[in-house]
Amino acid sequence: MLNLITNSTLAWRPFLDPLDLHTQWFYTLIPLAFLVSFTYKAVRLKNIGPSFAKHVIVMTIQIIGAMIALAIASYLLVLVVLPMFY
Amino acid sequence: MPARSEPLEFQAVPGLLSFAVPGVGYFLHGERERGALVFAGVMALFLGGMLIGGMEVVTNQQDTLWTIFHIGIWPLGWLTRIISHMGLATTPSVGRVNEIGSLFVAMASFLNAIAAVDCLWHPARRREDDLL
Repeated sequence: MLNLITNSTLAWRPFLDPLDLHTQWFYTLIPLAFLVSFTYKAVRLKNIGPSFAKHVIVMTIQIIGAMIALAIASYLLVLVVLPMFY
Repeated sequence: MPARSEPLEFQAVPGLLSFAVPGVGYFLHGERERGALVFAGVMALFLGGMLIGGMEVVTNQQDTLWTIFHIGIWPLGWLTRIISHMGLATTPSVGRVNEIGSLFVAMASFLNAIAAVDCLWHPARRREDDLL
């Protein structure tokens, strides 16, 4: 009981306690897409130059756009298309 | 298939060292800027995953599939496990937070593996064209 109270009242400790993002977890898609694009373009581009930032931003938008499109497609498939047959 | 302008050259040391420290293989190849960017990106993903899901996303051995995905950064994962055994009281994450944290760490692992392979066969793996 004491442990439960202590855990619930202590401040968040970075790297030791998880973040309370259970209802806002989807916002982590943005930094994830950015960091994946950043690292991939750092490996992939022939020359690291002024265009690096543009490449990273374009790929980030592509990933986020694809995720949103997949979410819409899944929503339509499960809630619109499949109920028409069952 | 486009013709290669440069021959394949297998270089074990930079490639293997890249698994231990992200981006260090590029430093050994003389590409310091690329090495710094890869280091920053992989470490941000790795530390970001542990920041979101806590240290347990790396140290939890029961998530077998996620543990396999950590192979691209196994020295960092090993170091994290040593630190976690130093008496630190960690709180395990559950649900989406655990999944997102594990996903960040897995992406760090995959991208570091790509960078390490690129350092193993350097620089002929990089194409002439830049894909957007």
